[in-house]
Amino acid sequence: MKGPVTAARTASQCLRGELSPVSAATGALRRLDQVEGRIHAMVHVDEEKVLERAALLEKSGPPPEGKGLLFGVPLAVKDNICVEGLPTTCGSRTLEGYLPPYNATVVDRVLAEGGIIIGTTNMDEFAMGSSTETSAWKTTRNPWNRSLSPGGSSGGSAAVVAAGAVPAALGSDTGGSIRQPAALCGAVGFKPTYGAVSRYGLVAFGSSFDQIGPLSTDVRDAALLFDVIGGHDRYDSTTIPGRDIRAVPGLENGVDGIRIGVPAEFLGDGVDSAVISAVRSSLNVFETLGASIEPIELPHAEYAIPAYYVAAMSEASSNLARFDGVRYGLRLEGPDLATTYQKTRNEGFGREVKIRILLGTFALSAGFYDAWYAKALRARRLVADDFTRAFEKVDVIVGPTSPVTAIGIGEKIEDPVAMYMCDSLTTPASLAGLPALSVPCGLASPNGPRGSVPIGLQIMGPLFGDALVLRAGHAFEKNRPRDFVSPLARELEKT
Amino acid sequence: MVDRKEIVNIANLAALGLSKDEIGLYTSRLRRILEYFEKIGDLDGDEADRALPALGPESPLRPDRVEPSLETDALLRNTEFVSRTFFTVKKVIE
Repeated sequence: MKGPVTAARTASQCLRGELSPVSAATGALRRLDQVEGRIHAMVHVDEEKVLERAALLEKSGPPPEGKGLLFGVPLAVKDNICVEGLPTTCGSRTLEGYLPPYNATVVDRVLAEGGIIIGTTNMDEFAMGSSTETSAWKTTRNPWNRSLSPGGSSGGSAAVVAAGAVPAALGSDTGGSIRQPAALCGAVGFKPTYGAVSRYGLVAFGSSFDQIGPLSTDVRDAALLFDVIGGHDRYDSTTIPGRDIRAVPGLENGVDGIRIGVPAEFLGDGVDSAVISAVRSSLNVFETLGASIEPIELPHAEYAIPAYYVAAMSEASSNLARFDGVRYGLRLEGPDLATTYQKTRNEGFGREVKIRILLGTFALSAGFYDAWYAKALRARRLVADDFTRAFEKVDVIVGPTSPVTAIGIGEKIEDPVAMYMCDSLTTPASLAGLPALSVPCGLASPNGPRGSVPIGLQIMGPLFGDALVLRAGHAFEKNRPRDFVSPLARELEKT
Repeated sequence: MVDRKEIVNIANLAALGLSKDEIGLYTSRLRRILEYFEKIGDLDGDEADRALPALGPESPLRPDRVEPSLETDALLRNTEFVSRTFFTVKKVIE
């Protein structure tokens, strides 16, 4: 059957007996084999375990009606989400060889619905980066043009989905790490509301920001995965009981009568003209579907980058204190315990991680706390208040996901501020904990030296408005003028 | 603005044993980053003095009872520095 391999379609075929879980798994392994040498997206794949799991599903047969939402579906997970017995390294030498003794809640939920974990995907070390170049293991390439970065930090998840090797993957988003790589690779990426999905088993970076979410071929799969992994979890007290949201049931309800806010701050200085033009064309699509477009203001958006980075680095400096070589990971012995810590941490962490730990420690230290950390929290409040006011007038907010399209490998790695600016449009929703989706909406530079590269449209909603965001994204996706299939995925379709 | 002395002090607080070259590199990187971040210093006044609280109004509680947890053996498997059911480190108290 032609067309993209989606999770929903794979599960449906496996449930009806038209495709066996073993065939689905071997198909994904074969596709991975074909693309991995070109995109370097996977950190660990245990073929034997994958086939064992698929055979087990095949033997047990389709589950009862209503279960098996991911029956036989091969999925990749970011290298910072614990899968029992599969190495989880966070792209860091400090965790080389670490074998989690338990599954993250999201992994348990995927397995309970019959999913097959195909392997772990490459990422910026401890999710600190916007290009997947800070990984200790490899530099992932963009399936649209392999001289370009896939974005980050969930670059491996985005690349492997956009290359058509697996229908979907899980990533994590702290300041844009699902949405930005999804946008730059032409995939769908969804960051749920903070508290909608359990973080149990996700290696912590910025605990008040981190959320796990899906990267997928289409919005339906993002909604499907969100429904599977979301909901209250007793192991994560930030998931709120009674707030379990289901996105799939209302997915076809369209956007007729929906009010869409467009912040001027998202279409101003620093945003590529091709990106602005693609977003404006997308707004026309929404209008033809019956939505109204209203200009809004998010006046404190300009503080988003410093506020986010200062707050997230502060949290990271505290969270990463646990990597001292005592209980797991790399240990380099010194003459005393303090030196052991210092040697272990200096050798185990890469440059960007050390910069962020230093900055976070600085912002929290006596004498600097009020000037930096406290100010960042205040800025965070102002950004969140802007959104609260905006959502009194509109139902969702739309703008670009990234101000620029995919950057070249090595292009910004030596300029931290330029790299941080890649997150200028994703960090506002992160600061406010809002649900936000990136869906491909256009192509830039079709005749330029880099060839065609995708542009992502960001749809943000109010807290716990996840279903509405996905519904709007689905309506747009069904009615946009073209599809977005990477050259690598097109090549795979032919084989 | 941060200088080398400050970086050494911070690195010590963060238990990072930086080399001399790294101290130089991180001093210039942090300066550049903090220079850009300085704009949050513009924020003052009454409207900005409230930090963001937890997103949910609820503070969930659960009964205080012992439940099954991970096995000790499984937790000790990720390091070779183990003695019986303990992690081992160099002696701290003389």
